[in-house]
Amino acid sequence: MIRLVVKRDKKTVGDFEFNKRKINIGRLPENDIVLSMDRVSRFHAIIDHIGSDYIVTNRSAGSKAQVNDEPIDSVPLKTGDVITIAPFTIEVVIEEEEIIEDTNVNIARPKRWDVPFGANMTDADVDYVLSLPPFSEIDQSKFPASASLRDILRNDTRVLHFKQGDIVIREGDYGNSAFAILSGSVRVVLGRGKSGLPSSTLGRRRRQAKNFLRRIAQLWSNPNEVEVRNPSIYKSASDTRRKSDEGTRIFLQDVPKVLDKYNTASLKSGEFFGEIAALSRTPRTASVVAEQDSTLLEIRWQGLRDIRKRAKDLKEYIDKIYRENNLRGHIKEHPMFKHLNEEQIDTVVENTIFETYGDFEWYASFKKDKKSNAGKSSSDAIKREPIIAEEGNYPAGIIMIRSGFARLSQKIGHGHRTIAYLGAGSDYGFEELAHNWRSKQQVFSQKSLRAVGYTDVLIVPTKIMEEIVLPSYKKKLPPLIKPSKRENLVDLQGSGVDKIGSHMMEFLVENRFINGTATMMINLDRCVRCDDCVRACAAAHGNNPRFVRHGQQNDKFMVANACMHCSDPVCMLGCPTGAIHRDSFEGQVVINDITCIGCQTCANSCPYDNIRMVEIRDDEGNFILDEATNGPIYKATKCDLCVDQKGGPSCERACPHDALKRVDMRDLETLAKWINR
Amino acid sequence: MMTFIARRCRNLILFGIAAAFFFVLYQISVSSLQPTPYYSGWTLLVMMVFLALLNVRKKFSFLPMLGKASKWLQLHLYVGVLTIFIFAMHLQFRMPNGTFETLFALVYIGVVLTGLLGLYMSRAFPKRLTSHGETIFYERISVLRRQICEESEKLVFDSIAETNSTTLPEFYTKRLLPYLKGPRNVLMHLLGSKLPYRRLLNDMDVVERYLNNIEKEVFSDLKEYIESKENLDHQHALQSGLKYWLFVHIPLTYSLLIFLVVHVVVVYAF
Repeated sequence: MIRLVVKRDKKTVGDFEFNKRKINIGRLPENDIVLSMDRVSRFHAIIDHIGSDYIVTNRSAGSKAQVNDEPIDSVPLKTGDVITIAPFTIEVVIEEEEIIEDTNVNIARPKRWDVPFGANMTDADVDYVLSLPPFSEIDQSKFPASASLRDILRNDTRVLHFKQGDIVIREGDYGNSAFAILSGSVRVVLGRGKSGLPSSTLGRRRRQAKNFLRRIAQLWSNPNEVEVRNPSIYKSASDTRRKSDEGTRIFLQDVPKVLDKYNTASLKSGEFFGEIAALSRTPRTASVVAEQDSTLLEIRWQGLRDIRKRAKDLKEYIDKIYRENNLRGHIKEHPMFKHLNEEQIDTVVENTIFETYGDFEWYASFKKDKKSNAGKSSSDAIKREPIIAEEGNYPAGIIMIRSGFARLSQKIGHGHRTIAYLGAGSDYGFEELAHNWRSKQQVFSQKSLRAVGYTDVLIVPTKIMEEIVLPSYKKKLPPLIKPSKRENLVDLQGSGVDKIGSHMMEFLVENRFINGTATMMINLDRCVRCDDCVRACAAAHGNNPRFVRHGQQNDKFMVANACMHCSDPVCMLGCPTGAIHRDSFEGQVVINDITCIGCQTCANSCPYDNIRMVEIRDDEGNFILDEATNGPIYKATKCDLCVDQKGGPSCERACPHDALKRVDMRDLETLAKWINR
Repeated sequence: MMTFIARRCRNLILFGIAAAFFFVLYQISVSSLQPTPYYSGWTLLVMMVFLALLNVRKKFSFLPMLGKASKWLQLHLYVGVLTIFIFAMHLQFRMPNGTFETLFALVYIGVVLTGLLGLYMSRAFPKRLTSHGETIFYERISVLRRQICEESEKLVFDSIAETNSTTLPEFYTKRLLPYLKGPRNVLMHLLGSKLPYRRLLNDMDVVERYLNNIEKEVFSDLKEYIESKENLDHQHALQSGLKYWLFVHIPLTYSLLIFLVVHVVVVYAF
């Protein structure tokens, strides 16, 4: 039982005892505690009795309810707590538990393998896979009992059968899985973009957005309660999955004729593919087509991660092909090497060095640093970043960023000035190499390159560049470097700093906002704080806004706490079920609410605190509870860029003052134009 | 992406062309003895309904075919100003007569003035908010205000034991506490005046002369609270202004629409 003593100006105006699941507090008479004041919202707060806990949740869009003088969203109560709904205070006394009528909905708490990747995967399939190399060579005793190899194969893989001509994966799609060929063979189409299979052949289709009527219906069908879900969806989740295990496939007619037009490679039984996208969280780099009727094992990346952790040989094998495929594919596609013949490409590939800087799970140290350095100068941060190439050293070769980010900086006095950030596809050092090849007056590296978080780079040594690449280079080489240029610290023409300003550049790099492909930036000089963006977001998401109009600020620009749909979405790293994933068409990072088990891994991993865990309710506002522990069920929520609505993010469209923009940080031009608008 | 200056220039040119077009039409209509008020009346009605639709557009944020809200607002602003010309033409550049007509005109003027005021505020206030201290959530302001009040009160009264003097507590109770307790000087903040704040600082400077060293240390901390409270008041005043001007503009708009319907009925009935 809970006793609530309502006071105003220290005088008691009500003393209530409740023994029920929900206690509503607000201005309207239908509340359990009626606070008749205009300043109080119609339904200001609710106290939920869950298990032995009483949890108070703010329901007011205006002034928030407070507990012990702290504004709250939702907090558990204890005896002695004081809830403030100005001008009233409510003292809380929780008394001995009694049996009360239960109106909450109970479901089993979702777990990692509740929804297996392959619903039709049988023990016989697992035995079959285990009888084939490389799985037959894995030492099963290295796996813990809680996640044995059998369990991983049973739950994180599925056996798929492809007919000749079926497209297995498509270049450009975001994939979270790799494939092992159990029988048959596949052809990898090596060309990308225009030199790859055309979109029409690949049968690309957009995600089904809500139709017009369903979008209009949101006006009245959005629930009044927060975070409402239909509990029956979770109960029938596994049934739904079974139907879609081997859906309709796109196929190529006359495979040899079509594929002969393209540069392809054949992969046979026992080989892997698709591991690049699965491990580096990047789009698929090539399309793969079944060359003949084939059986493939698709492994979602969570399973691949666990297998790599325990099976050393397989890890080395996967890492080897990952590096080989990554390297060769990247070199072949790079504009700098396009003019080379196969033999020259082979020489370049042979001599190219693949290096990794920083930490693959960089977000943990970043978050820790952010907390410990809050409010302090960030000038030391650059010194902690691993140096890929240093200003003043002789250029060892061309450095090509394969994935992750790097900071380009130049010494000024005793510090470093960030000039630009480089992402995947950018190069470093070509200007110096081209100069040294043509001029007797040799120059050193003009700038430093440092890994921001985690960076994969390919280095083509100077010797190879000078002997193979530069002599046959067909495009115009960059101008010679003037000896005085290095001394001229303000000469930053054409650099990133020139476009967006030094302070903004440092701010974006320091806080790793450069990772965002849809970063929500708000121009505070134009924002009238009307919250139309928040309301539009809520309207598109069942009355639940998926961002907070607040965040770090630099000058007049704010980066709001909204999912940035990162180039390197580290939130996906630890998800045990693959619930957080990239949309296969446009690459938005989205959460599958059904397979989310509420483990908070993504929310803890997100370096920007843009994922919120919420307690879910049924449409009457009752919490949906775990039937075993009676505790609330949590789900991860975040901005999904209105992926199921047409026309892109509602927030941007709803801003009447052009104050809000979703910015792709890879596109510095557009960012600069918006900043200097 | 068009710069704001380029957009403004383009829109002003288009506005000028539209205004000239309507004026020429008006002159032609008058000189050819056409029923000018009939045409200008219906034009005004269409324009006013369109202007009122901005609020409806906000409810349909999930329909991309309606376009961006910013485009709607631009149209709302320029069409809104254009109605002033059409309204003047409709009145045939004379003062309205009769109670109904006068009331109708007054409501219209109210809508226009509140609209222009809102435009000024929405262009000027965000810049002032950004340049003046930390940006604070509107909903958090009252909480922070009370926190400042309680903390400063504790600071002052806890210091009595150490300072053995009541100069500071007395000044605090009489002069500072009323300032700290609630939002103050809303109008002055809206007008951008710092006069009340300077007066308060002057009063504090005077009192500081009567304090010993320990009291001065407490006083220095107290000044930081006062500075924070000043920022809170500034944020509160300006954000309230940005929020609440619509509470005048929109009801007046609905009143205007009612007047409009009655006016059309009356014109056609008699």
